[in-house]
Amino acid sequence: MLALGAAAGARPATVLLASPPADELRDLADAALASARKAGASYADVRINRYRNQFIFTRDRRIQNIVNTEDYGFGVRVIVDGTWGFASSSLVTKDEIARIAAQAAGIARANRAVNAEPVVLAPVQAYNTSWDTPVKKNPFDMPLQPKVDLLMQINEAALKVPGASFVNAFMQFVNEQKYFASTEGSHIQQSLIRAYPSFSVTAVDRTSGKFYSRRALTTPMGMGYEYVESYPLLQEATVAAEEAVAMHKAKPVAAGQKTLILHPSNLWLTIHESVGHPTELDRALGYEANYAGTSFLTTDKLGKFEFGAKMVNIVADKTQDRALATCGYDDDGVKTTRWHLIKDGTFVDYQTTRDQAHLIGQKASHGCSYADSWGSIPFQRMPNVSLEPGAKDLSEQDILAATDDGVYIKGDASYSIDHQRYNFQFSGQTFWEVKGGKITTQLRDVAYQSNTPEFWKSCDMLGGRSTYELGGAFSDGKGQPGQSNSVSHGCPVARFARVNILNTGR
Amino acid sequence: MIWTQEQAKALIDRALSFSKAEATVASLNGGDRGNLRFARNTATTSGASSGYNLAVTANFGKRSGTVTTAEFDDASLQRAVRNAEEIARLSPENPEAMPVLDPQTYGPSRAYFDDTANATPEWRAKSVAPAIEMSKQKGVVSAGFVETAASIQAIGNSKGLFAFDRSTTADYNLTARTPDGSGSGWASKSFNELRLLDPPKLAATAIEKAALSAKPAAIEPGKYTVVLEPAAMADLLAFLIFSANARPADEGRSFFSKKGGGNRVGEQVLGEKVRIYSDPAHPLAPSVAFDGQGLPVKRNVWVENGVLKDLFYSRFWAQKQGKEPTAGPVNMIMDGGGATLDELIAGTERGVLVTRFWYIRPLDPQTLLLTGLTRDGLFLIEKGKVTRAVKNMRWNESPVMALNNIDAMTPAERVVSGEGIGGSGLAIVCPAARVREFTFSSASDAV
Repeated sequence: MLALGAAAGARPATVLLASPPADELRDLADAALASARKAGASYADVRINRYRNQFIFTRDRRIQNIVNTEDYGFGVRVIVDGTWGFASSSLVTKDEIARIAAQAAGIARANRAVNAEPVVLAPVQAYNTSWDTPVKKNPFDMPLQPKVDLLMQINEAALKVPGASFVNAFMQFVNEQKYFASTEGSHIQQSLIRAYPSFSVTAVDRTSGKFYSRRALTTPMGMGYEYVESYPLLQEATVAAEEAVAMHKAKPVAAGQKTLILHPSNLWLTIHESVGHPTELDRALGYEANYAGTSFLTTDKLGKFEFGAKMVNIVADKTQDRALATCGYDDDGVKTTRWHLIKDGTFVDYQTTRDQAHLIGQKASHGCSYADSWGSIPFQRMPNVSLEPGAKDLSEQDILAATDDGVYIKGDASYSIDHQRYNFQFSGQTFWEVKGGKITTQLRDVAYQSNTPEFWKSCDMLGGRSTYELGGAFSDGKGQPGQSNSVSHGCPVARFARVNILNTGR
Repeated sequence: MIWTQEQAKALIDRALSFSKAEATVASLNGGDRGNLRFARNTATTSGASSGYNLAVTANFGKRSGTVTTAEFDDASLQRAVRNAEEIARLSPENPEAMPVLDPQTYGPSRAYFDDTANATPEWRAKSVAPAIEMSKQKGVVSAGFVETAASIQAIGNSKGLFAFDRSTTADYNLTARTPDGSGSGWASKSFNELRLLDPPKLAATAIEKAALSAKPAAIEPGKYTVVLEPAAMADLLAFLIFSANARPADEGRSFFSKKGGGNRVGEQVLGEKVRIYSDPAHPLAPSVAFDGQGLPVKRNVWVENGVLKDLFYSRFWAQKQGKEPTAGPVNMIMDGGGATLDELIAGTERGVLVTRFWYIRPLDPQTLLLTGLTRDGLFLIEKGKVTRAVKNMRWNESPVMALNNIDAMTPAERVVSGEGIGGSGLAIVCPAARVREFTFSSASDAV
């Protein structure tokens, strides 16, 4: 451990400012709703939100940067004459709230001339409540010292491995403090917390001119500092460094169709891209055609389309424990829930919001509305979308033992999928040859390429609950202007038959 | 109205006055933006946002801490400054920490235009009306986006440095699709000046392309001569330049690393026709005068006649290697040639015309191998003529290979890439080009 500038356990005496008390927020919110009504809104909601982040960056046994960010502001969304309008400001005063509410109504009026589809909202119950991520240790209440110490220990553990050349290690903590109120009668206060420790180790061979990197298999989580403390980060740093070094002598994969086994640290991203995005109703209806794209899961396929093998069950869940998209209520004020997207291999439902549920004849929203800032417009964003474990509690070992000739991939890397979510290609962090039921050697230069329904129909083994893990990301991009969403995907170890394996080496 | 220089300086001076650190930097970013989305030939969501955020970095020797805040009353500012100081005191020393900059000399303000700053919700609504009207007339379904933004950036420090500049951006893009879902066309432009945007022309381009791209036939993946429209070319250029960082190159972990040590500056890495540079005064891509650190933005030549001339240097790495630090970059310019797009097609025996790329991700940093897909219009060229629409394909290729295989180019123009690079932040100017032996690896059913 390197010497630090303050005694262990020291912490900044000045904590970051928390949002105003609930009654003050309620007054501000009520003022916004009153102004919106006065300006002619038939519906209005207001979000007064504070966003806190902490970033600690290190590299090669050195601290690079420690940054605490804080952003605060409000946004007012209105419907005037069947048309949406939205305006927002970082100046949170009653005068500014009145000005912005009127501006939102003015924008709605300006757009009325080019709106041919009046907004219809699915009904929602009024809630006066609060919800917080159930964390054991709030990372924003934790001192800096143990965080910096741990990152330095990760640096040390990685660089101690012979052949390891460079390491970058960081921690990021997120807190969204959200106050929502709407003309439906809701006042909802929420505090969401997320944590992400990660690192990457690079092994450079100057003689050959080659270099390989291996990133940690950690993932962002809807948890507090207890995630950092519970993950065996130092052990993982050593393993990552050893695997980065070993990549120089790993066997280049032979391209061709093979049995593919995916660890949850890889499969989560394949689920995100090939199941999460095509089951977004706004994509299927064309609302995202100009940016993220549309979906091959068009509305005529609902309830009929054979998406995958019978054993494939995929659920959307905004209530899932420790997951990133989990919250009590969405940004339409809808209480969050859990539902099937794929049931026994068949495509059965979409992700929906209040203003789009009626377009497929549904009477209620599934609660998928989210805006990434007080200054962003809420729209349909992905809930946690997860593959259910198999009926039998098969272990990773059971799946390997049943595989005669295959490739096992852990960790996510290069990922790309077309704009209707058919053709995808993914890589990973580490690759292993499986022969005669056993892992035989480390591979390199591996990517797999497939077509979404073919891939999910080729699923022939699912691990049990004991192999189930969450993976996720802080930065799922969608919308114009672009917005970022945090989302998790749980899954067991899973096996797929006859998948196209590429060798990416040149 | 966005903040004036006087307002920005007063806030920065107030923040600096609260600091007890040995050295302090305060930077302010913010402004006003308004947008309108449409889809299914109707307006969908729209909004406006006005916001400012101040970052304060406190330094004690080689220890530093940074805090940002959006609340600017004295109590909030003092809290932010105290918090930055406390983080700095608790932080270990960073041996790579650089002293705060001395006052600098900056070029003129070039990136701000009143017509964009004054755009109203009514103007934005009127700008999408022709696209919706033309789409209905032509029997296609359009989705699109218009945004106008005016921003300020300001920075000051305890050594007396102060800089302020403004910029504006006007973006317009749309996708038109045939009702049967078999054809899709796209067009996108971004300018600092609103008067340069031509929404009806962009709408006509996307709508025409949707019709032309309908009912595509599948062709076998493999190596093809490609005519890359500027939006496709821009992504290859951007992904190449994003990797052109001196430190990883010198550390042996970049395409730009030299085997055995050092970097490849001075080597012929691209085709002889290629010149790539950054220039804040370029008339098609005027930029702000300084970067986020307060360094003045200057003209830099990255590649000349295909020879790598320079890489990006951080302040620390520049000092260590005896080089000038690189500001920005704020734009990327690639010179073009004298051909027209029709001439590029006419000179192609068999190949494909690419409108844009989509979902590009790195596959191997050692060779800069990328993967991505085509989107919104892919056409077969036979004997110098576009003969039919073809289905989209995935490609696995390196921009280094592509920029070595260019045999003809159009004049350069201001471009927004398929990945959306080229709007505010990093303006891109580049040509369309004909490129030999581009590798398509698999077929896609996506339209």
